[in-house]
Amino acid sequence: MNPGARRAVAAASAWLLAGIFLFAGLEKWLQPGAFADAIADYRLLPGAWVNLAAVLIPAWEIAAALALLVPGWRRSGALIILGLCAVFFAAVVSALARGLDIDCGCFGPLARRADWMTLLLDLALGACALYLAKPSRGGT
Amino acid sequence: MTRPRLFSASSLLGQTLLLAAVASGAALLANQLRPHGLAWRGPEFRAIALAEMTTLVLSGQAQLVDARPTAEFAAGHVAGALNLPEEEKTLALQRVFRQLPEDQLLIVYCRGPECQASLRLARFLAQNGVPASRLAVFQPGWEALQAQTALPLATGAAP
Repeated sequence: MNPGARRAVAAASAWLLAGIFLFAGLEKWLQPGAFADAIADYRLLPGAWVNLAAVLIPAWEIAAALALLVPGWRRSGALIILGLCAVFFAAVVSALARGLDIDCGCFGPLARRADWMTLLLDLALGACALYLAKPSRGGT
Repeated sequence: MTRPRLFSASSLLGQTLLLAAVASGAALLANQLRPHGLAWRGPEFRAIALAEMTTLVLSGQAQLVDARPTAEFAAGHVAGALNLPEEEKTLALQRVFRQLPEDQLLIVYCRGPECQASLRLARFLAQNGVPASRLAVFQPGWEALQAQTALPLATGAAP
């Protein structure tokens, strides 16, 4: 791929990922109680830690999304999203393994069931973030 | 001049940690300032075993709360259990405060080990003034209660 096309793909990936995570983060930030319930449904974190996670995760999503759009910060934003995708993937796999029938908590009130499609979506987003985190594409 | 690779990697890591730290700080501050921010520490509930629950219920020290939908409750429940479906949470709150003695432990159950209604109802009650220490969740749920023999079972809608 020539450098111009590579830059265009990287920019398109960054805008797509930023849009998705900005939307997801804002939805969760607007309704922290509902997101805390969604986290609690996974039964992975001790109850005492659920609220803190519900406050921090949307902020990381929003900050990472915004960072993707700032040239010198793109790779940092991509790394945070990559980490979040890894955590979400592990949580959904764990829920599926335990037979839990729960909302994934991905997009606030627009949540969908935590299922195999959720894992595929998560993998796709993670791959996009990995692409942007590489030195030659991130622009840092 | 090209920067050494190691320096570049540590710089990226530092920048990423800085971004996460600033976002965390902003989130904690915003949560503190917003009108209905979350408590830092979420509620934790006792996971109660069948034997202890049976003793507490039979001695009157605990009240069972059935979080399943009304139709499922009518098809079968532990005699004396209060039906507070998750869909009627606000009503549930009023009933807990008006009808139940304050010294009773509230043991919430739903369909079975995989259901979420009991934990969600307990969280709702805890966030609305019921002390978490007064709440317990029996996660094995109705599936386990059906198989036990000590607690009397009943059918029919809640009074």
